[in-house]
Amino acid sequence: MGLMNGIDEKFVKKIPGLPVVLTSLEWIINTSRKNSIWTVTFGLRCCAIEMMAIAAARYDWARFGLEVPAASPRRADMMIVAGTVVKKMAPVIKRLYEQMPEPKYVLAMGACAISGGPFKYDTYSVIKGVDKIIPVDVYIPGCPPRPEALFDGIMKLQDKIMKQKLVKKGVK
Amino acid sequence: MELIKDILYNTDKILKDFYNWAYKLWSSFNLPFFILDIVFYLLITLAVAAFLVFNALFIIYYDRKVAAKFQVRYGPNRVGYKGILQTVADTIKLLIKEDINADKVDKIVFFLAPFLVFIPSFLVFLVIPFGKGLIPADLNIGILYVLAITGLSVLGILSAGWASNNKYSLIGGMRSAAQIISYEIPMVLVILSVLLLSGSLKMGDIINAQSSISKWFIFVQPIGFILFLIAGNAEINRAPFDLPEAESELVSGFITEYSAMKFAFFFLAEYTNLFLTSAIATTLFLGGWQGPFLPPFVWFIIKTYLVITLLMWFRWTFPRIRVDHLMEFSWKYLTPIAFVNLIATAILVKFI
Amino acid sequence: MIKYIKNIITGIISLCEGLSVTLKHVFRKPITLQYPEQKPDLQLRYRGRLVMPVDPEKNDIRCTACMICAKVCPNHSILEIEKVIEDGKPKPKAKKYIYNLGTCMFCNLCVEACPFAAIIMSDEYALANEDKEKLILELVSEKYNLTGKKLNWWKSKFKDETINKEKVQK
Repeated sequence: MGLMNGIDEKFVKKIPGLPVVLTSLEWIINTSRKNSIWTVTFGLRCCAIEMMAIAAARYDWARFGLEVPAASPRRADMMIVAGTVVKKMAPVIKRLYEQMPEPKYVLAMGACAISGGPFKYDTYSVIKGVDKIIPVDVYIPGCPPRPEALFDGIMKLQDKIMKQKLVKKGVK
Repeated sequence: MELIKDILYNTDKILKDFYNWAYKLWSSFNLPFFILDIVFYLLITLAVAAFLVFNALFIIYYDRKVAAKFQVRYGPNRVGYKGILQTVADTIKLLIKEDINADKVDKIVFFLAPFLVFIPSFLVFLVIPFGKGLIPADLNIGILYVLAITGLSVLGILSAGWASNNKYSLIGGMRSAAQIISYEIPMVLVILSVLLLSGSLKMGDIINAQSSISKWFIFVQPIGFILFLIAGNAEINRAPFDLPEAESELVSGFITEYSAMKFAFFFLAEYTNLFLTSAIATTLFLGGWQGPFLPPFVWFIIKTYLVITLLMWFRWTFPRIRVDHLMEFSWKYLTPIAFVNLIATAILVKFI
Repeated sequence: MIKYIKNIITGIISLCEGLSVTLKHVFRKPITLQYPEQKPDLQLRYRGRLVMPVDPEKNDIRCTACMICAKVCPNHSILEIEKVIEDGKPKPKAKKYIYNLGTCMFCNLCVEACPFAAIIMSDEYALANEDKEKLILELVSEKYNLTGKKLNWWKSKFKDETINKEKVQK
């Protein structure tokens, strides 16, 4: 898709009025993307409990439009990897990530998903951080992080989405 | 002021006058009349399509808010005033999302299935009486047409399940077909008992038969109304009968492989079907657009949304039932009760 | 036949019960804590990230770079402590204290092991970051200032120690 790869800066500058249109279009696209992040939740261990807590009434992630159940990765935007990634689970995560349509984002939640956490040293079975197999957008430290910390991570991701540009340099 | 009042309360007369005026104008140009007819039908189709889309957008938002209300939370409240633009944001996002066609899907059927699901629910709008005279075509086989067309959506679901080339999708599609066919029977029996009372298949006549509140069929057929809601809820695959897309068993059933706009079509069809079931329940049992003070269109919308809220209440109360219980419930309980209801109605109509 | 009718009646009653339960909840006020606007009340002993606060009386950190915290850490989260001995002072001082937030499991063992109460778990929980490198923190140059209840609680930890010192000097 052309929108995803970005539009060439030189081309945009040729047509008067196009930059203004593109900027407002960019704002609309980014705002709607930001406010409808459907998640494929990948609860692996204890972090999953905190992740479930933000779906429940006390923290309520539906306020940000996140709650739509995307049971299938085919229509998810974000994957929350919550917990220890063992070597047997790694291919599954990779496959699920590849099944998600672009644009896709990944949150690494908890010490285990960031770097292996308590299993970083002297373990044969744990992947030392989920970023060794898939690209991670936001890291949320904690063991496990509070639901508020997860919200903070989601908001950092929203800021990142708002920074996405339609016009890019050096696109042919 | 008078004109606005007339448009709101006597829509049928205004529409008739407008038709006559347009025909007179057209005849002065000496052009064939069928062009005018085509233009009119196109306008009606456009109006219905616009209503359908905006209505579906609102129902999705409403569903999420009602769910939040039942679960003691706020629901979407960030986009626009109290999150009213939430579904618009979702739609824009789905529009620009990557559309995945898996390698081994049956390409043509996979592409057609969302439309096969969506088109029947669009076609049913032909006989939905929105208000006095606000019915695209008052067919004399109205309710039969509804039943015939809604039966078609099974085809779309089944082909979606088949074309996806995925075990979960296939099981979901098969379940859905079995469910829709078995729940059609109690639904038809209930509609039959309503038809015995009204004496006509035409939507206009059914509404005219319930001219005052005491004559509403819900008071004559309370069991029928409940049966219709249950069977209708099962027809449109909503919880507690959402076995075709049960997350805990089948990922998401026949829509597992669908992404972006194709998925949006399934979503649109699901919520349109919800509206249609409620609209038909309103027409059959709650007196359609009739009511005091307010314009007929407003009454129709209020009643329909009441029924929708009732269905959402069921959805957020009951857990999903097991697949063998589902069949048992339909064949062993709903169908016999609907039969008894039908026979009792027939006796009532014949002897009283 | 009687069983069949009984089944129907009990079924309807139990369904109505369920409906009444959910209906009651509709009229309750939402219990949601709207996070970015409303912050949670944290307990005094809440374990956020590790900080090395500045002692307001001495206007300096209390760490002596004894490495006990690094030894006791089960995840090896405290990566590097650089020691410096200033002229004319008996105690060494930490110059660099590198702490990896990414592996920390907030177990409080380092704080308990510290003989000088130089480090403490703060109230910070919103720690998400886009960059993994930024999760590795340098605590000495941060010059963290504790405030409120947590400061008093931290002070009470080494108050006894100063009293003891005075006794010894006497």
